[in-house]
Amino acid sequence: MPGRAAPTALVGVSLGPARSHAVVIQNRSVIRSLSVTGPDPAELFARIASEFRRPVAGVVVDIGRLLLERILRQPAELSAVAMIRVVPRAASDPALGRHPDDVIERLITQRFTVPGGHDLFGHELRRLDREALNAVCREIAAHPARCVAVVAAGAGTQPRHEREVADAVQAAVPAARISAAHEFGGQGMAAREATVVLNAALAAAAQDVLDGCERAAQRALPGVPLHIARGDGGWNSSSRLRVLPVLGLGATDALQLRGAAEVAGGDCRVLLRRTPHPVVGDVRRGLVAVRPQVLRDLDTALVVPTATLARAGPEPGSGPAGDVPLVVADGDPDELACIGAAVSRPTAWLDEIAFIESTARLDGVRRDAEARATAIATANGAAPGTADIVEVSTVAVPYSPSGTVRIRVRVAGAPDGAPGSSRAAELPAVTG
Amino acid sequence: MTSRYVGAVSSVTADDVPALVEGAKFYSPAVGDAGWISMVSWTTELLRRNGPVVLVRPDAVAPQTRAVGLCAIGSGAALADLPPAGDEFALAVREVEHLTRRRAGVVYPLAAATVSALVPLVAAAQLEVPLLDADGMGRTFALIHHTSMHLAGLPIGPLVARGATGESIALSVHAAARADTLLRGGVDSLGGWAALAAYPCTAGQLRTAALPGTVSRLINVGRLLLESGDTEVLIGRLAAVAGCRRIGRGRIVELEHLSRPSDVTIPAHPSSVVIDEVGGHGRLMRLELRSEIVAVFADGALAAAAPDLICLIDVLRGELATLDSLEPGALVDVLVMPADAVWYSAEGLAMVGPASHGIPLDHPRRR
Repeated sequence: MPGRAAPTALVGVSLGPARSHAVVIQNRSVIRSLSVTGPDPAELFARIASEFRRPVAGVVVDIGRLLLERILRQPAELSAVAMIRVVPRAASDPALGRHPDDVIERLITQRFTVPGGHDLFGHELRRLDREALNAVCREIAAHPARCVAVVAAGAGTQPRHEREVADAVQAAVPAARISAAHEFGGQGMAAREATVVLNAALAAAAQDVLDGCERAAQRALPGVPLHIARGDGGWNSSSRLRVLPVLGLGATDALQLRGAAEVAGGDCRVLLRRTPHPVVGDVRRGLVAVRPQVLRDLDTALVVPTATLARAGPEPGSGPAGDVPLVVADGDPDELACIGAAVSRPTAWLDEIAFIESTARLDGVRRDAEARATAIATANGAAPGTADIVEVSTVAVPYSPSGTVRIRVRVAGAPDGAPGSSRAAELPAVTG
Repeated sequence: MTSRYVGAVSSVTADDVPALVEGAKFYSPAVGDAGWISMVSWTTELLRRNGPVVLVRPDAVAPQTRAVGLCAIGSGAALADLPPAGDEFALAVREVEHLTRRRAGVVYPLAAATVSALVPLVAAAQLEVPLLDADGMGRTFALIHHTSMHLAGLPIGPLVARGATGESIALSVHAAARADTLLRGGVDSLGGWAALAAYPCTAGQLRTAALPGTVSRLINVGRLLLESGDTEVLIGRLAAVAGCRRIGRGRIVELEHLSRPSDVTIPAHPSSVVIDEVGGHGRLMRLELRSEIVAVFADGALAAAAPDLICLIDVLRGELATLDSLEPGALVDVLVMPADAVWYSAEGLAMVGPASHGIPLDHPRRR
C-alpha cells in the first residue's frame, strides 16, 4: 500500500546587507529557520539543501533590502541614469526642471527635455520634436551613462512618444538599457519619473543580485522554481525582475505583514515594532493592503504599489483596529518576512485612466483592464487559469471631464507548474 | 512642533508650506496627492529663493489697490501628469493686467483649497506682491462663478487661462455662468488644466465680497493635521477648531458610476459610494459624489449635503481618503463640516446646494 505523499515544502528567503534569513514551510508550519551573515544567498541555499532533504515546490526571495541598501548607502554601485522628459516645453523654473526628491535627482547624471507629450486622454499636445530628440541622442552617445529613463506626459494612455524616444535612443546607443515609464502605469509625472529613474538606476545592481540567487538556487536546489518578491507582497519571475527591478523595492515590509498574519492565522491588522514609531498595516483576504504611495524608506512617491503602513498610536497595540483583530508582530522580523515570502503568490497591478460614456462602456473598460492585468500576472509567473481578480476599483476622477475614471486592478494567481496549478491548494488562502 | 497662530497680518514662509498644504487638502478633500508633489516642492523653493510672501487681510491694504484672483482650473490628475513649466500663473496675471490696463498690487486665491491655495502664493512670490488673506469659496466648488465675489455682483472677467503648453485663452463674458462653458473645452485642449486669473477688482471691493481669513485658516488647521497621528485625536481637534463632526465609520462596500442623471457642464460624472457602518447603528451610508462629496444619506435619510464640506478619513492611515483613491474594503470615517455662512443663504444654496446636484431635498441645516 503506497504511503501518503508529504506536503510539498515552500522556501522563503529575505536577503539583507548584514544578515540573510530563510525558512522552510511545510503544512503551514515552519520546519526550518536559518540565518547567515551577509547578503550572499549561496550559503543559505546550500544549508537548505543539506538540512532539508525533501522536495521543494518553490523559492521566493526578497531582495528589497539589498536594493534599498544600494540606493541609500552604495550609490556608486548603481547605474548612472540619463533622464529624458517629454513635455510640451521645458520648465522655466529650475525647481520644476528636476525631480522634487533629492534621492531621485542624485541618481541622474544627464537630464534632457524633448518637446512633445499627450494629455490624459491620449490627445497630442505637441508633436514630438525629432530634431531635439536627435540632439539628445547625440549627447547621450557622447557620455558614459548607458541607462536611460524616459517619461512623457500622457504616456499612461498614449505611450507613442515614449516609445519613439526609446527607439531613437536605442538606435543611437545600441548598448543602452532603456526604461520607459508607461511600463508601470500609474498617475503623476513626479511618481512616474521616480519609478522609472529607480528602475534604470537599479538595472546593474539587480542583475548582480539575481545572478547570485540563480547561481545559488541552480547549485543547491536544481530545478526548483525561483521567484522574486515584489513590493506589493506578491512575486514575479526572476527574469521579469531583471527588467523591472523597481518592483522589488518595499517587499520586506509587505512580507513581514503577510508573515505575521500567516502566523496569527488569518486576516488582521498587524502592528510592526519599528523605531522610532510602531506602524500598522492590514492583511485582507490573505493579501497585504497596498497602494501606490510614498515608499517610506526612500521618502519618494512611486507608481508601483507597496504596503500601506501607518504610524500606530502612542501605546503599542492601541489604535483603531476597526472590525479586524489587531496582531502584534512579536516574531523575528526577518523570519516573518521569509514566512510571508514562502506563502506569497504571483501578482499583478494595473492603474490607469479611462473614459466612459455609459455603464455598459464602464463594464467593457473594466473587463478589458481585468483581462490585461490577468495577462500580466500570467507573464509574471502565475499558472494560466489561476489568476483571480482580488481587487478592482473604478472611481470618477474629480474635476475632470465627466466620464473620466481611474481604474485599478489587482490580480493574484498560483505559480506556474505547481501541482494542481495551485500553491494555494497546499496553503489555503488565509481568511478572517 | 509648536503652533504659531497666523493672525490678521503675517507672512508665509517656506516653513509654512507643509501646513498650508495639509489645510488646503482638508478644505478640498477630493483631490489625490499626485498633483501636489511638484507644486509643493516648487512653492517651497520659490519662497526660500525669493523670501516670505506678505499675507494681508483686504481691509489692511489701500482700498483702491488692484487685485486679481488666481486658481488652477481643471483636473488635478492632469496637473499631476503635466506639471507647470513655471511661468503660467504670473503670466496669466500679467495678461489680465494688460486687458484691464491696471497693475495688480495684490493677488488672492479664487478658492483657498486644494492646489489652488498654493498658486496665488507662487504668483505673489514671483510678482513680488502681497497675498490677500481671503478667497471666494472657502473650499472648492466645481464652477468658477460659484464664488462670494459673484454673489456680491463683481464681474468674473476679463479672465485668462494659461496652459503648461505655453498657450493662453483670454475671455470676456456677459454672464459669469458662461465663463465655465466657454473655458472648459479650451482647458481640455491646454492639457486638462490651466492657470486661471479672474475677478480683477479692488481690495476695497473684496473687503465685503470675499471670505476673509481663509488662507491663514488653512495654515492653522494644517498645523493641527500635521501634529495629529491618531485619528481620534485628529477628529477631536478638528471638531474644536472647524466645527467638524463624524457621521459614522464603516467599510466601503460598493462604488457605483453614473448613478444619477448627468449634467455635463459640471466636471466629474455622478457616482456613489456605499459604506457599511461598523459599530454604531449599523447603518448603510450612501455618499453621492461629483468632484466632491455632495450628499450623505444614512439609511435613506439625508444626513449632510453640499455646501457642507464632507470628507473621508482613512482610518488605517489617519489621513484624508481622496476620492480618486477609494477602494472597496477600506475603513473610513465620514466627516462633515459647515461651509462659510454665505453658502447657506437662499442664493448660496440655489447655486451650490443639494438641488444643484440633482438632489431636490431641503438642506439638513435649513430644516
